[in-house]
Amino acid sequence: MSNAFKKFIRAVTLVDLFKGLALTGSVWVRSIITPRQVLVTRPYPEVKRPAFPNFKGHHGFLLNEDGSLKCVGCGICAGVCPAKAIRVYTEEGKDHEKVVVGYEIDAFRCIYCGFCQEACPKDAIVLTRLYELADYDNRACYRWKMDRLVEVGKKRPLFRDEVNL
Amino acid sequence: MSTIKITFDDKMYETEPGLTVIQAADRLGVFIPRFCYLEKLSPLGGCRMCLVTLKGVPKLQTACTTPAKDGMEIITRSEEIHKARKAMLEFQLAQHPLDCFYCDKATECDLQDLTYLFADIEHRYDFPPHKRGTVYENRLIERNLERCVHCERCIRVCGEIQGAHAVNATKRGRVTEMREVPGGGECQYCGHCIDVCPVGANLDRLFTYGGRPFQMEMGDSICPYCGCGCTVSLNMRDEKLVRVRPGVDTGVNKGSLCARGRFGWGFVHDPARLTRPLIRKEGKFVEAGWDETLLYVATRLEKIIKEKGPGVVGGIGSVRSTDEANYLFQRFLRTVIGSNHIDSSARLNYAAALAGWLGTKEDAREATFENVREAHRVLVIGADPLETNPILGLAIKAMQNRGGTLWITDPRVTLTTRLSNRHFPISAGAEVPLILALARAGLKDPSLSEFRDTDLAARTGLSSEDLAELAAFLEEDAAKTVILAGRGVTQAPFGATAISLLLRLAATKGASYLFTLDKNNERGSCEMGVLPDRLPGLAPLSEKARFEKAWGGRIPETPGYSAYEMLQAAREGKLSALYIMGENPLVDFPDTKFVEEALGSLDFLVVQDLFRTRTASMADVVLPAASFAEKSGSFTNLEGRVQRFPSLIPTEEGVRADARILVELSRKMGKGFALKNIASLRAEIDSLVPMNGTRRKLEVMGPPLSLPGAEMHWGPGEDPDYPYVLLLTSSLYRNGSMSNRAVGLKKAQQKACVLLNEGDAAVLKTGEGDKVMLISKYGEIQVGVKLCHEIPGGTLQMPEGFSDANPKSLLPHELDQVSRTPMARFVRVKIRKI
Repeated sequence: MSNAFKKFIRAVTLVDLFKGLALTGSVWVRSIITPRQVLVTRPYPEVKRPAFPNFKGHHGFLLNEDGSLKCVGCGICAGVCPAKAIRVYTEEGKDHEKVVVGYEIDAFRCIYCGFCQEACPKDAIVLTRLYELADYDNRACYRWKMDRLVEVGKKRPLFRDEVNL
Repeated sequence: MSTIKITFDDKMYETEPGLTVIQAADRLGVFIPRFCYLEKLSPLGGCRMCLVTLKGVPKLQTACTTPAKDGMEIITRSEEIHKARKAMLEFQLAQHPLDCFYCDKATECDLQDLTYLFADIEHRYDFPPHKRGTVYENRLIERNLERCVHCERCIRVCGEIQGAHAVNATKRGRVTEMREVPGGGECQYCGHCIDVCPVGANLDRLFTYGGRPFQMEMGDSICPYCGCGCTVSLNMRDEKLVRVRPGVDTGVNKGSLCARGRFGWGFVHDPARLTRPLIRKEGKFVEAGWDETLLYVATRLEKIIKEKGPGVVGGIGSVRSTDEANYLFQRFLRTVIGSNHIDSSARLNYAAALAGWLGTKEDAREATFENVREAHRVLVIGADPLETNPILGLAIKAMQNRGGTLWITDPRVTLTTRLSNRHFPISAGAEVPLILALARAGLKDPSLSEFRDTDLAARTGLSSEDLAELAAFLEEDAAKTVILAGRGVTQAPFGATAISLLLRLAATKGASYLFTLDKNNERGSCEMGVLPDRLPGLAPLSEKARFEKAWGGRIPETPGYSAYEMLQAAREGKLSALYIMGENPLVDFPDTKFVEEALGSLDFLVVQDLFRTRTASMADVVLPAASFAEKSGSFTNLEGRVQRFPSLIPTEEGVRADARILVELSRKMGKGFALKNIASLRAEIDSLVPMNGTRRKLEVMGPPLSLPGAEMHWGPGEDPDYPYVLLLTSSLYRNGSMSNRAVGLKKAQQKACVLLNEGDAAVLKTGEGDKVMLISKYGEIQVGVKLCHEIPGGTLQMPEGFSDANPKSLLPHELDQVSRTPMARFVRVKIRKI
């Protein structure tokens, strides 16, 4: 039998197609019966992979027990930042105290080195394990403002709980 | 020069004699830590950080108080020294609040730097913290008593350099407080204490929590206020000015600044800055685009020139703008418009001095700041350098500190008269007869023989002995004598003649001279040809062929109108259009009513300014211009030093630099200048004015000046209806409309006040703080009263430059015959209590 004839028979009887479908089907069945976390390809939006313990993600601002900012606006984080991603704006308050009126992180510049966290004398800024940094508006990433950082800081324990490695 | 040999740490150096050990170390690059020592201050030896070992001396010695001697062997690094210095630092740190997070000085702090250096400091002392707190008594300088390391630099700089004696030490021991106390001197807001403080004890309150040095960009520029031309370091954050400091011992100011220079930058980011061109349409200002506005200006000007000829267009250049912009301005008027009617507010001062200088054959030596510092004698006639030119004032103080003598002849009581070794209180407006008397004594000129000494003495209000002493003052040690003249002379009748006599006197005796100039570029604008009868480089109009060739246009032959002649011509309908670049004649020129009428009768008025000033409000077109920080160019200071500066802040959308506006307008008018940038403009100026800044005397000489008649009348005269004589003074905190929009200067002094003798106040039944109305024949103003026992009865003193009460509106505008300068130093007024 010539090769051409063999080819013709295989094409008419759809053998290759059923072979392929059998593989797909067997994987599908296996994926249903095995637990989701063990899968090699993770079904990402539904199942979020926990970050590693030393993972450095989105910055968070921590608060004192009375709800005030831990940050005093010393500017050491901005000074130590190798990517020049941090801007701190301070002003004189009513009783001549130092008030942090603005804190911005340029997410495009940040290299997530964690120097700011290490340098902070008041432990006010932390790099959390939140890694979902995508946004619908790139201007929001260009300047992460203080309220966003405080919000992330409040949720910080949440990200920690997801770690179960 | 002989040198001495000195050994630092087994290494032999050669250095000049007469230094202390720390000075020698600084010059040779040997590091010795210090808190209290500063080169420009007297040594104190208080901080004990500069301890060194001298071979053969058993105990450690302070390097700042030990003179360096030939063959001296000094050890700066050893275990013993390290231990001693560390112990001193430990004491300092024991009572330091360590609030670096909050402190604005952090990263610029000597204590921080030295603590890092001595990293292994122990903390063995447990003092109870003493909460001395922070003092906010000073409106511009914060005094944090807890951070103080008791180096006394602030006290010494305030007394020795500034001479204000405002900061003093109170209490004793480790609770000593450096602050202003009642009974001390009045703070002059120079901010020296901020600069010299090694820690964050004295801080700039305009900059409180404004940022850290690594968040800022810094660049050197030239101060836009007075004629000193100080180098200032502008600190910008996010392209906004946040702080101004002097450079480190750079420029003419050598690390000093005055209140205006340091705290007067607020106008740059004032919300009232113009950002769009304005065109008046049916009586109201409408915002318009640049193209449209410049086209409108060009068409209106072309129409006026077509109808009435170019002689009806005039221009007032700017004593605030750069040399380059002023050069372009006169080139624009001379070649594009074809008119010689060009002047600026330098007419009020420097133009008169220039007329005197041009009419003098003898070439007197012009002083520099360095000459003043090193002089033995300074004679001030009709000027108040401490207030108009504070950094020149500091040079005079330095001269006094070195043992020099300052004599002043002034009818007013000013900071300078208070500082002087001798004050001759001449009668109001008597500067010219005084100079005539001095010239008669010193020059032996037969043309002066018609004046009689007794006559002149009577007119000056001084005794013949005083006059003889003044004449003798100029005779001795002339090489180290500087004569300072100011507006008291230039704004007097025959002021130019008096200047000429003064220059002859200086030239004959060998003394040097200097004029005090209020505005930053008075000299530059004149030297760039913003004068009705002079071209750039002060070239006379007869040399115009050279300029015509370079500029490719025709320059009119006859000299144009000076400032007041332009205004007079406008009133008479002989001038239809006026282009004002960066001037505010309604406020700066005497006789406000006259100026207002003149500007009102113009057909077309263009004003180019930073703000909508009173003059700009009358204009048909207002063009928003860039401030000094936003443009590049050069200013010429009162010594004639041409100082270039870069543009450091980007201009806001819609604001353009003066030179760019003029170039674009010239293009719209069909005779465009072929200039690409400031550098090409500068190259053109350099090719036409080879020695910009230094003047080629004999090439540019003017006609000799005529002398006043022997019966000439000076002074305010008598008038029973207006019993008081108002003398105009200058203020440290104001200098033009920029200063009135600077937050810092407003904090230093909010409102103008008239100084009144206590006896007069009792007669008028007014007290300190009361409001009075000053009424002269020409106008009236409301102003608060301040009592002063120093000024004589029947005299009032009031500073110019405050926007709330402008004494120039009280003045007449009599013009001098030679210089066409209005006489604006005094006026007779009456007072009405409100």
